[in-house]
This record gives sequence, C-alpha cells and structure tokens, in this order.
Amino acid sequence: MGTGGPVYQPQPGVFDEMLTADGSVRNGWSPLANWFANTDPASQLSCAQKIERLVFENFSDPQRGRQLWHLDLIPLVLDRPEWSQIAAAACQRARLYNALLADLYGAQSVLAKGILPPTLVMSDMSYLRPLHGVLPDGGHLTFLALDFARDPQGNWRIIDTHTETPAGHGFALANRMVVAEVFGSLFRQTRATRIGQFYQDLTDDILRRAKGDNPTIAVLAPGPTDAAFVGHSYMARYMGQMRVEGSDLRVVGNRVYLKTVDGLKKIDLLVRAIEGHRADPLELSPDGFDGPVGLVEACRQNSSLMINALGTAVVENRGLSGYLPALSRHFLGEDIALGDSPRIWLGDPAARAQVLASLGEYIIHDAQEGTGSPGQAAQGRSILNLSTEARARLEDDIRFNGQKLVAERPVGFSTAPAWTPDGLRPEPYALRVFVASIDGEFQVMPGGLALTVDAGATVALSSTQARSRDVWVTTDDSLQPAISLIKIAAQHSTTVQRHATQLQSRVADNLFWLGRYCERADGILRIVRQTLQRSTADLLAMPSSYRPFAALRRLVEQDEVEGFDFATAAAQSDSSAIWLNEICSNEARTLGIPVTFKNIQNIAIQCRDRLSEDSWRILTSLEAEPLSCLMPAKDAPTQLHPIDTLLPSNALDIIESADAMIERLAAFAGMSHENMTRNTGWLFMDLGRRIERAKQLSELLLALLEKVENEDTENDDLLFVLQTADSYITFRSRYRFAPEASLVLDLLVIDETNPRSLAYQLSRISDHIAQLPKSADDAVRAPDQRLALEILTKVRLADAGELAEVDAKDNRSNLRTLLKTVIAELPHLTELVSRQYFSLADEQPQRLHPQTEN
Amino acid sequence: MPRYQVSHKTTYAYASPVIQSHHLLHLGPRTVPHQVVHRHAIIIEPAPAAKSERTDYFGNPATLISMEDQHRELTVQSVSEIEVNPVTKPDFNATPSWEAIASGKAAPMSAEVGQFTCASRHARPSRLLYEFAKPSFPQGTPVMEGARRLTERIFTEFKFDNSTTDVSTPVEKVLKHKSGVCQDFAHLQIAALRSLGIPARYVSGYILTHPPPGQVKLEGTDASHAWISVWSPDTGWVDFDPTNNLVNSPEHVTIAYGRDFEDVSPIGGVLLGGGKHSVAVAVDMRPLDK
Repeated sequence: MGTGGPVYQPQPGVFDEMLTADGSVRNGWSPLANWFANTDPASQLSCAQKIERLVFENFSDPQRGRQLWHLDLIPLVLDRPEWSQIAAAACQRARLYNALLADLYGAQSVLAKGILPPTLVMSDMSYLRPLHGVLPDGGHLTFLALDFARDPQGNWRIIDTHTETPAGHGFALANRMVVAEVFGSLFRQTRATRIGQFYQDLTDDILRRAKGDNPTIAVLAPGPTDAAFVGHSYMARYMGQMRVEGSDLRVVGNRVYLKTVDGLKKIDLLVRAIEGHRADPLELSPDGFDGPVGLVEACRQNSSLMINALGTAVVENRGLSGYLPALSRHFLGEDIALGDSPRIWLGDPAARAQVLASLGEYIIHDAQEGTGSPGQAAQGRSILNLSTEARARLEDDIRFNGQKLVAERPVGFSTAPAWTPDGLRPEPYALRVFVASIDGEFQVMPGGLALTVDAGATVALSSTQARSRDVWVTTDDSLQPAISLIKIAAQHSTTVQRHATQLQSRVADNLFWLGRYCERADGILRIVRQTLQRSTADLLAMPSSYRPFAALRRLVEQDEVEGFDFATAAAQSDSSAIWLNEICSNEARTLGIPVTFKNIQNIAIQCRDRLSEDSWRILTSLEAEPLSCLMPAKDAPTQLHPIDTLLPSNALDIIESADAMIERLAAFAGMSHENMTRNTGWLFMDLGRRIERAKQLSELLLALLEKVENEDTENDDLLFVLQTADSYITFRSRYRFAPEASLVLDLLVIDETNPRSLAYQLSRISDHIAQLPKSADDAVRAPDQRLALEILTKVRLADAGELAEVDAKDNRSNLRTLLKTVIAELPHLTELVSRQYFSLADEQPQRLHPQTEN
Repeated sequence: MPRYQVSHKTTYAYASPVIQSHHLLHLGPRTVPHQVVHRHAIIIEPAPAAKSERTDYFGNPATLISMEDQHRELTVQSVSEIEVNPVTKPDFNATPSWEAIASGKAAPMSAEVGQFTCASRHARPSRLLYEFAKPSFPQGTPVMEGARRLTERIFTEFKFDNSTTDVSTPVEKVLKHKSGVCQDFAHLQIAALRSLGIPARYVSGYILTHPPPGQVKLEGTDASHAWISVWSPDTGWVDFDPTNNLVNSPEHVTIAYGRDFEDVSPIGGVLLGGGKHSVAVAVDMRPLDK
C-alpha cells in the first residue's frame, strides 16, 4: 500500500463489492483501489469537496434550504458478467410487467384463473378503473426502474419496482456528470461504460413515437413544491424536452393542448412524471390537479398519448412478489430470472394468520407506497419496538386492511466502500437500475444509482438522507462509443431551439417577472449603496432633513406592510434609519431586498429548465443576509456624530455586499443580453426589465426632484440621481460643470440614446410589445400596443426646460404630472400584457360541489 | 308492473363566468335484471361543446361533457321512463353463513364481486366498524339475515338529519353522532359489512315518496337516493335500504352502482372560473298509469 488512506476492512462474513473474503480486489475495482491506496488524504478530501460543491450546484434547492442529496466519492463498480445477469433480470421484469398491465387493464385473465388474487389488485387505489380498456400499442411501460440488493452472502434480489414515473433518471445523470468531472481518468482506466448513448437512443425513440414532422413533446411534471422537481427538471433539460405542469395544459375536444403565448398548441406526446391517480381530477382522484382536466378521455381517444400510460403504478404493488414465478410462467413461459425479497401478502387469510402468530419475525410495509423518489420510501413497522397499544393497532391494521399490506423477513444487505475523511467504510447499499423501451425492446441504462440503506429495519431504498453513488459498469468492448455526455447535451440544445417558438404562458409569465425582479433588486441595491456611500462620506449633514434617504423613504412609502405605519415612522427623528432597515431587513416588504431576492429565486427554480447553468448559479447565489442592518441601539449614550444614529454599524459591509450583488445581477443581465436568443422568451424578460426600470426611475426622480428643498441640497440631489441611475459619467462627459436640473432631466427622461433614460425604456417597451405574437402587423394596433405608444409619446413630447421649471411653492409640477402619468399607466400595461399572454395560466381549476343524496 | 317517469333536474348558478368546464354524469339508469329502461334522455343547457357516452368500469352508463363557451348557469336534466319488476325476497335463513362468504368457502369471489370487499375512499373497514356490525352477525348467522338485521338497526338507531353531514363526512362521525342522510347510512353499512369481509356495494337511484295522507304530492320534492347491495353466491346481489328499512323494494329505481358515492356521483365536474356557486336539485318520480 502506498501513501493513501488506511486499509479498507469490510465486515467479516458480509459480501463486499470491492474486496473478496480473502482481501483481494474484485474485477473492475483495481483503478479505484489503487487510487485510494496511493492518493494522500488531503487530495482525497479535496476531490470529495469538489464533488460536494458540484452536487450542491446541481441539486441545491433554495426553497427547501439544505440539500438532502449526497454523492459519495467512490462509485459502485460492477463488472460486465455480473451486470449481464442484472440486465437480463431487469428486462425480463419489464416484459412481465408490461404483459401483466395489458391483462389487468384488459381481459383480467390472471384474476379469473386465480393466478393472482383479485383483491390484491382491486384493493390497490393505483389500479385506475377509468383506464380499463385503454391499451397502448407499444405497451403500458416505457420507463421503469428496479431496486436490486444483495444479501450478505452476495445473492441478488429485487426489493422494489418503480413503474410510475421516470424519477431518479435526473439524479443518475447529474451524479454521472459530477463524478466524471472529478474522476474522468479513473473512469477511463476502469473501462466503465458511458451512459450518453442510452439517453440519445431513448430521446430519438421518443421523437419517433410522437410521429409528425415537428412533434411537440413535453415532460408533464409536478411543480416546484414536489420533492422530485429538481430531478425531473434536470432530466427534461438533459433530454431537450419541455417541462410542463398540469396548469400549462388544457384539453379541448379530447386533445391536449399547451397554453402558449401564441395560443393553444397541440401536444403530440407526454412523458409522464406525475403520479397517475393525480392526473385528472374529473375521473381520477378528485384532489389531484397535476394533470389537465379531461386527460383520461384524451388518453382513451389516443392510447399512445402518454408514456408511461396512466395506471402503471399497480405493478409496483409489493404483494405481487409471491405471485411473480407463476405470472412469469403464465405470461412469458419462462421461469423468473430473479425473484423479489421473500414477501407475504396479508390479504390472504391463511398467510395473515401465520404472520399474526409470529409477528415479531416480520417487518410490515404498505403494499403500495406510490413514490418513485429515491431516498423517500417509508420505514417498515416492526412490533419489536412498539408499545402494547401500538402493537394492537398494527394487528388491527393487518386484520382489517391486510389487503394493503405485506410482511417481510429482513434479509440484510451486502456492502460497498463509502468514502470518509478517515478512510473507506463498508456501507450496506441497494442499486437502482433503469430500464427503458427503445425501438420496441427493453434496454438497461449501463449505470444507475446506488444508495446507502439502513440495513436494520429496511426493505427498500429508505434512508432519509439520500447518500448516493454513481454506478460504473465495466465494458468488455474494445470500442467505446465515441459519444459523450457533453456532445449529446450540445446536440440536444438544438432540439430545444426548435421548441422555442412554443413559449408556455406560464414560462412567459415567469420570465417577465424574472426580468422585473432582477431589475427591481438592482434598482434597490443601487439606492442602498448610494445612500450609504453618501452618508458615510458626508459628515456634515443634519439628520433631521437628511436628503439622501429620500429615495429609500419613497420605496418604503410605496409599499404597505402590515404592522408598519408610515406616518408614525416618518414623524420620528431617526426615521432615516428606519427606511434603511425596512428595505434591507424586513422580510415582508415587497419592495425590499429579502423578498425581491426570494422572488427571483422562486422563479429561477420554476424555470430552471430554461436557464443556463451559469445563470442558475448566479441567481441562486443572491443572498440578502449580508445586507441586513445591524442598527445602533436607539439610546446609545456616546455617539461620535449624529449620523451614527442613522447608520447601521455594518454600513461598510453592506456597501461591499451591495457591490457584490449588483455585480451578480449585472452578470445575469449581461448573460441574458449576450447569450439568450432573441426569441419571445427574451422579449418577455426584457419587457419586464424595462417596465420595472421605467417605474423605479420615475419614482426616484419624483422622490428627489419633485420638490426643491433649497439651493444647496438641489445639487446633491441631482448628483444622487445621476449616480443612482448610473448616468454620472455620461453627464460629465457631456457637460463640464455641476449638474443642472434641465440637463439632468434631459439625460434621464428624454434622451433616447441613454439606456438608463425613461424614454429609452419606453421605446424598448413599445418595440417589444409590437413584436409579441398577438400584436397586429397592420395599422390597427392592439390595446397594449396603443398604451405603450401613448406613454412613450407623452415622454417624447416633453421639454426638459419645462420639466425643470419650479413653481411658486418650489414644486416641479410639470415633472410631477408626467412622472405620475407614467407610474399610473405602467400597471395597466402590465395588466394588458398579462391578460393577453399569461392569464390562461392564472386560473386554477376548481371542483364542482357534488350534490348529496338523500 | 310498476312503471315510473323520473325527472332529475340540476341547476348550477355561478358567481362569475365559467370559462371552461368538464363534467362527468352518472344519470342514465343502468341495466339490472329487475328493471327495464323504456326511455331516457339528458338535456343540457347551454349545449355542450362535446359530449360522449360510455359505459364505466362497473357497467354504469356515463356521460362526459365539456363546455367551451363562457356561461353563468348550467342546467342538466335527466328524464327517464322505467319499469321495475318486483323481485321475490329470497329466504335469508337459507343463505350461507357470513363466515363462509368472507373466507370464500361458500364460493370463491370473482374480481367483480371481490372488489366490493376492499376499502374505498368513503367506506374503509376498521375495528370500530367491525364492532358495530358484530351484534347483527353472531357466529354462523346467514349472511343475508345478518345484513337485514344491520339494516333494521341503522333504521331504528340512527336519525335522519341532513344538517349534520356533507359529502365528505367520514362514517366514523356518522357512527358517533348516530345521524346522517341516506348516503351516510349506505357508506356506514358498506364499511361495516366490509369489516366482516362481506361484499357490499353502493347503489344510487330514486325512491318513490308518498305525500302525507290526504295531501297532494308536490312537484320536485323527491330526491336522489342511495342504498346498498349485499352479495351471496345463491342469491346474487340483494338490495337493502337502511334509510327506509326496505329490502328489494319495487319503489326503488336503480341508476348506478359502485364501491361508494364517488364512483357514481350524479354530476361531477371541474371548472375554470365560476367563483362561488350554488346548486338546486329537483327530482320528480311519478307512477305511470297503464
């Protein structure tokens, strides 16, 4: 052994994947074992940290806070002969389940012949009766996954089946991306098989099935609140398919349509990533709104509309285990290649009595668990650690609901090495294998997902913290397919382009608001930064009428928040400090930093499949925390200067953080500007950005320039406005003297060449709206076009000198009138655009109250 | 042979316009051995954009309609003319013991029958319901005799009260308060029978009501009704009405059956828009002179 970590010691008597009982390294493991033995612990740690970082970038979910996904440094290696057995068993299962589904949703011959107890199927809520008779040509199953485990002696068994959604593919793909980045050369030395070809073939096959010239295919998945959201989004993006939610779809005349900004577009094929029973509230679970109303009838009319077909979850029923050998002989004329864990279905009266008589030997599980998400299976129940009462409840449950339960004797698991900073440790694990139907044949993805399991009380992949591993399958082929994941990802981005014309209303809505919130965050941050920079530099200002806080005050005033009274706050001597604190720290303020950042991130999650990795990284890195104010104690005795009572003690840190956040937002803006194709999606995002900037700028000008306090502050106010609006350099390059109101207003309001001016925003808004899908090409303009043009024209016709005019009461009433009009009309414009393009997505369907029978 | 004309009219009024709606109707009388449907039609106002007729998993006629035009009111009226043949009441004491039914020893249950022993959303077996049913089923009680006693107990021990329950009231609550409507009594009895392992299904339909002596029957005062059916291999399905303590009555018209109300709800639907809504139901069942 070299300079590496301590020697790996599996548990005696338990099969280990890397080492045999006599300590020699198994086939395929040598490169990894050598690496571990010859790499110093510090380098190992840095590899592990790199993996941790990459996993975080891929899986972090700002909505849930901490990520629950972990990826081990050490993959699981399986050599080809071992793998061939697994693959053969998995494919046989796929064929068997397909045949069983066709029978259960058709003739039900296995129930009539008594090969399968009828109540096993009939008690399962995932047997969807309304789908009886709907038999897809290509079979019910396109995707399935099987969880394999070895017992401590090394014999394989199948512990669970996932036939409902393609959950887990996203995780497997992302794991491989990460591990390949860290362990590329070890991967090649191990001669492990690439998985890209499998997904390429699958994607091509799905395209072929959809038929038609330019078919519309979408992955129908639950929204961001679902635990599997990240995985589904990853898979959809990887395969170059649109991810849609139930509310994006509408069934008209028994066909499924996508709500796009262009109107309804027919969907040709749906990849189902939602649970079947939640797919149609009309005919399936009344509380399931994950699919569009009427989907079941649409599937009746076109049985190949969805893959997997609705109703496939019924073969996940664990009660089937004991009947698989007979079913295999019946349907396939073959013996089952690999059985399930030994399980007893408790709907059988004799079996139930037997289990009740020796309950302590068993773990009781639900027969149908209905989740395909790795790491989320429920723990089984054992009476060993139950109170008398709980035991009685379990016994009653078995007695009265035995049809829905299975009993299982714990078999135990083999181990595989897991990396820890103190060396490798043997951990029990199970292996998820993915199967898909490609060109009418079931094929196994040459890799998978291995997860650490709790060997004591478990029969499934049920660790609450999903500790996962990549799976490397060695290849004996001398020729590796030349295709790599990166190359496929590139090929598929061309597929995405093709769908880009079909922008979902929901996505357009999201992009519009992403643009708005990013611009809002930028605007607020600039005001905060400018205010603090001024205040920390300007030691002479008097707190009572301290002008630079006027912009912040305006932000607070615009936004009513429960429990905050603006008038009371304004009357206080230290109100300036209140404004700053409200904007930076109040987590309920719509125009504050915490809410705006949260809004940005929520939207980023929802349209993650539309964002590049870089954009995603930037947006999820926005942090409001460092900007929150540490305010001085109100009655702190010795203040050096009145200004200190106004400023947070961490003012300089806030300025620095604001700088950093403004940079990030600028990076995102630049990236959207440089990298996004100028399609409708970009139009909506930029439209949002421009509307928000026009509004922010108008408010800023009103706050500081509407009223002239005195000659001295006027100069400061003009400078503040110029700097906040990022136009100071432009002004200085044109005029060599101190700012003068009419010139500043010309630059910031009327000058259409200044990308920070009001006129520029309005002219972009008008152009963008004219390019939107429903805008009229001819002379008759749509209402949103008319309104945009009307606002723009008002600003264009304004005169800088008149705007700067001050009346007898020191007010700029012309400026006020113009800006108030803009501020009042912009929400109408937003409403017109929303109603035209997004409104279809807004309405949530509701159930009709059923009538009671008397 | 009693022959009836039934009109079942439901009117939904919406607070705001419905943009699109889909409805699933179980209003057409199904085929059962003892009744003949002479005439049946469903009238929908406004006219639906699409309408399709099918037979559901349980063999009930079902109608799917979708409305694509904005509307503030929806009226669905089902009109039927049905002949009901009296069924001879079987000898309950000659039926197999309930234990023989539950264990399958009397006869193996087909999938069609067996499904009605399984838990459904509104009728799940439990220890509590088992204890409730047990006094009507001492050891060796013929299954139909036990079912009759349970029907009678619910009729006498429970109060008809349409203010305490709604469509989602669990049977445990009905049992606790000893009150409810026909639907609650049906669910309760089904869940109790299933707790013993006896196949029991939910039947929706209409019942002929009689005005108090000396008064004229008012229009629209009937209601849709629900009762249950219990299975035994020698008798097939036998109807019990726990609300009225009746067995195989010729004054009941069957519309549909299923595991519970959810399978046969007369009108279900999902709306886009509509806001709050109210529903008015008028049912008329009249014997026709020959």
